[in-house]
Amino acid sequence: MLRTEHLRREYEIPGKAPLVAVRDATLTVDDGEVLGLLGPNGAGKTTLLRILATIIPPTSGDCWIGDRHIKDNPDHIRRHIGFLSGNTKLYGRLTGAEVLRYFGRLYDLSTQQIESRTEELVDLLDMGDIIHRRCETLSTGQTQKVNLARVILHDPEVLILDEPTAGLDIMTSRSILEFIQHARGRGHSIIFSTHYMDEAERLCDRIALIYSGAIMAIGTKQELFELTGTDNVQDVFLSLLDTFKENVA
Amino acid sequence: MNYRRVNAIFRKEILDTMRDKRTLIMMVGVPVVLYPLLLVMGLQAALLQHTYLEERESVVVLTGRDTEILRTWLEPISKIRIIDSEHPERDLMEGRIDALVGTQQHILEVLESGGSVVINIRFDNTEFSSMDAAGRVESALQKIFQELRLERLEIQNLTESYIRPLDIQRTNVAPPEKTTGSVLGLILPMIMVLVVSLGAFYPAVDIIAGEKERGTFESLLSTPTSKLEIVTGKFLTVFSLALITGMLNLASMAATTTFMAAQFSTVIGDSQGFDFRLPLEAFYIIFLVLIPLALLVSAVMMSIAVIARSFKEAQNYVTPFFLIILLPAILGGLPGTSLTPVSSFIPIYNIVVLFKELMMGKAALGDVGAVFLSTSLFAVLALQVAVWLFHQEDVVLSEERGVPLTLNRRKLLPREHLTPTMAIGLYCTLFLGLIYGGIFLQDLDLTLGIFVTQWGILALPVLLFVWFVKADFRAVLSLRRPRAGIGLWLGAILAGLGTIVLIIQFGAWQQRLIPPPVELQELMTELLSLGESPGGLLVLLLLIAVSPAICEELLFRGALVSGLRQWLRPWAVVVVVGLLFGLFHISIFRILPTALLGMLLTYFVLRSGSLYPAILIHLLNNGLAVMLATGHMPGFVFQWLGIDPHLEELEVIPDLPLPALLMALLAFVLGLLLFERAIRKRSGKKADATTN
Repeated sequence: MLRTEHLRREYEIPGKAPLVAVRDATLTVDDGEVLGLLGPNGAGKTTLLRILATIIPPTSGDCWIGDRHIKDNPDHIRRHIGFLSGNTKLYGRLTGAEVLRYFGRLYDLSTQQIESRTEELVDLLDMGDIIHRRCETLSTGQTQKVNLARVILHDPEVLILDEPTAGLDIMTSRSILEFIQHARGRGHSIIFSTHYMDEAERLCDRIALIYSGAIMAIGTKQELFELTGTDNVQDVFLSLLDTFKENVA
Repeated sequence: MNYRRVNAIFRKEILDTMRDKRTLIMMVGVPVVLYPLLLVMGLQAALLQHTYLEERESVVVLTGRDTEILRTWLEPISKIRIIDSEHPERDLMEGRIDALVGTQQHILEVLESGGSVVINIRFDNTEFSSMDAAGRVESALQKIFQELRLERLEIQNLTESYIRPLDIQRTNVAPPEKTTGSVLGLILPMIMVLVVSLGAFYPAVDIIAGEKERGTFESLLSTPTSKLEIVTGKFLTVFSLALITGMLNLASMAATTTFMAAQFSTVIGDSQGFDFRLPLEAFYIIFLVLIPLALLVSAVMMSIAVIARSFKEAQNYVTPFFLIILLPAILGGLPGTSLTPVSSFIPIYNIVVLFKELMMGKAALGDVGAVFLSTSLFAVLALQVAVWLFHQEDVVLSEERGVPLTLNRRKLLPREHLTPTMAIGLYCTLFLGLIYGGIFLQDLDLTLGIFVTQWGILALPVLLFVWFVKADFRAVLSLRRPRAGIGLWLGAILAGLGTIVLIIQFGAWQQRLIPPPVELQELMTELLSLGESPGGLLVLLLLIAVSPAICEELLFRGALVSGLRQWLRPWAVVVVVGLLFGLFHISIFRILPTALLGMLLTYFVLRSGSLYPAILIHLLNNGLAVMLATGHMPGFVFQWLGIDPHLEELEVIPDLPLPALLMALLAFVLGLLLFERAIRKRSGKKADATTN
């Protein structure tokens, strides 16, 4: 389970007021739940996910993975999360298998564990024909599959995925979304960002709508429809945006 | 630090780099193939040219008067062909002939009258063949000159020695190795510096800036691997590859130059006395010098690579670096440069000069040590910069924004301890401050220099640093009461007194093994002469006892212990801080005794949680040393220690009497037991209080 309370992240800009990339973010992702982080480019999705992945610290606020606070033991936290950053590439001169072996060692897995886990993931993500090819020869979709295998190699409780389907063709996107459903079935807590409304609508148990660093609303699809009196996610977003702008003004 | 992860990063980076064509070409292709190929081809071309010129006939035209006489002199000479020309000057300028030989005088008349015939050889010094022809003609005419001179002397009934009252001979005493070394020493070191830099550059940029470019850094940072582990793994890779590149180059140079030497001796050597021998043993030592060079260059390259956001940007940053290292490399390669106490500490310059001196077989062991020490210090500092940059989020994740290299204190959060990076960085910086500032100041004015070094170069920067990083002064510098009472103090004093005596004995052994230089003795004599007056003794105690006891303790047992204990086990902190303390005293004659004292003081601070016992024992040690050296001690102490109170300072110290040594050892052991007992007693009381 993942839980945050009042997370805030500011960036200092010399001579100007600090830029607030994430403000007062409070959310929970339960075991076996998929939370979609939906918002336009520059809304603060990546910053929020980076904080959850312990790559950058929050300026204030709290975050727990399971019952552990991220500030108390980042090393421990990192063993329990899998993070896929946006547009991640791979080490071109290594094969997929070598990439997995490398990351397995960084997660302190034994050689035997790495091998058996790689076999499982090759089957799961249908990578039999690409796993021993150098990554520089893989297509974007194939690269993303190896990346996903890397993220889930150490069987983390929480998956943090930053726009996992961005720039992918329909077929690969579908297999990635199937993979997310599979991970949900295995009890992983999943938070993933996207700016595709239909993707969020189809896959997520709950959706958090984020704009200008603030979570405007969070709830199930039905709850959001009721809240805004609309019947699709796009209208929900636009309606919330109007309210948000009115409040700010 | 998890060494398995460091190893995993190292192995992955080596594998990755070995599959990179650019790096392979720079690392293996250039030294193993291109470099020898170019040299050998150049040599072959030079030899071919040499042979061609040797075999070629020189075409000469005779001009002026008495050309027939000149013809009879020159015609018998092989490889000189005399031809006629309508326009000799034009033919010479246009390269159709090689030289013009002629005179405007009547040769026989001048010779008979006892005069001197002026013979003019005209040639073109931009053409090898023309220069060669001039040489051949001159050498042929020299023979005629010799014959004519002998004839004249015979007529006058004189011998040749009569007109040659002095026969001056020059003999080159330099062994062939030294001659070769002096020539190669000018060029090779500079090439080595550049080659090692290039060897470090490609892997550094590829495995750091390249990782940013690919966006794989975030994946790496989301694993349990710490930034220190990442930097260490990557640094080991860059260092190893730079070292391999350097070694391959060196091996290639050795092989190529030996081959060239053999070729030269065969073709030219025997005829012209050319002797070309490589000092092979110098190469072994140069391998050692490559280590600090590769360390320094790799660490600097790492920092450059961290700042850059892409391969291309790193290339832009590295160009000024090459220019910067080129200057000391060129200066070091100039004839007449040598290692001095100051130049041994100038980075790159010192390595180039050491290379050169090794090649000429005249480098001293102390020079090698000084170069190693200073270069390693600079390398550690550069690596600390790389680690620090790695902790800058904007640097590692930089996409659009620039690199903030500003030190904004407002952004820092209060902290209880220093990090290992901070502590080691502080140590290296102050060490360099000591080398460049302290020694210079002490040269100008010994007393004032020591005072400024202690308070201005050590204590003040430590305090400022702790303030700047918003660290807790009391926690970092252990400025609090010890964890136990009177027993702890008694134990520390007893163990300290024992150690002082043992250190004197240790100094006696070491003095016999490595006698201190006269300069050091003179320096100490100058310093201790202050103690002859009561006021002077007070100043001396302030300088040598009180100041170090406070200032050095703040740095070593305060800041350094605070940082290193976050990283190392207590026993390792004791050893490392002790050694760093010994090293800080720069002189090889003081390293070991001061390191031992440093270890004891570190132990006191770690166990008692307070800096004060260390300050007291440091004060006692230095104070008693001053009192003993200036003779201000009761007679029985000298008697007990078997030291003559009128002994000139730092003359050979005799072995201390066995009873004194045994008592010192006993005091040391008892003191430690007492100290430990007091600490444990207090811990026990605390535990009881908690239980109740």
